Amino acid sequence: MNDDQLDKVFKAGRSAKPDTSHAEFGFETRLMARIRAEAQPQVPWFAFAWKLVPVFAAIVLALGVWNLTNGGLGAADFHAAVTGDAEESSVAGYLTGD
Amino acid sequence: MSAPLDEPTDERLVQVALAGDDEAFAALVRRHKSRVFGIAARFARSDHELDDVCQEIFIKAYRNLGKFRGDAPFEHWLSRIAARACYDLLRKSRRDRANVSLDSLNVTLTGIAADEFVGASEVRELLEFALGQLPAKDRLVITLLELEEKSVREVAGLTGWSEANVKVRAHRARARLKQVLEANPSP
Repeated sequence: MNDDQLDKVFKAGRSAKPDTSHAEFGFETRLMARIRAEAQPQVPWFAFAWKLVPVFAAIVLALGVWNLTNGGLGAADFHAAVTGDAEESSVAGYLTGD
Repeated sequence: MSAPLDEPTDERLVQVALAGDDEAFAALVRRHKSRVFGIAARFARSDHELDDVCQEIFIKAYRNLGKFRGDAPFEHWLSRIAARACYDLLRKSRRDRANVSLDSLNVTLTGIAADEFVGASEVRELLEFALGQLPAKDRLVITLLELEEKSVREVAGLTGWSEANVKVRAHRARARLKQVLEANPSP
């Protein structure tokens, strides 16, 4: 292959200039959106915890109100309610020898 | 690219963009995107890759805007960034290019040499294949010199190589390209 033939290939290649108009369409919009997104500071995950503070405050408040309006369960009553069945079963077991 | 008198110059837009006005940078992108796309399209294998590499080029320009001293036109500075980004793209994608088979191409060297009518896209396909067989630096120098018709001096400026290095590399690249094209079987 000589230089003339190679130059013909190059000439043909030059004339085959790729059409990029469709790829260029809206390019600056996409680019600037990416630049703006990258420019925004990264928010740490725990920053969202502060947004939950009002929710937890409302839950605590609601529990407090509920506790007051229902006469308030004492710690002993609560313990008895939870462990009542267990105590009965252990007493029955002791008396019946099971 | 020279701006009309009523439009701000590139240097002025750079100053405004550096002051924090992103719209000024968007104006620079609008002004120069065709040239950047033209260069990158010689190296990208798909529209998606073309869009990616052009975004990388302009993002690099945006981040390094403060380093633009204005002693050369903005267009030249941007073209240097584009040439480096395209070189990086070539280095990354060269392994994939080698997997393309010449058998899948329906154009031959002899047809072109004999001045037969050959479609532009077919020649581009053949050149794409042949250039894909070259090392990244050889492909870059051939594309800039022969397809983009840059001078040796311009290529040296774009790549950061010396003019002597560009000439030597271009000579070797042409020889390698001939070898690849000669391996193309006649019809």
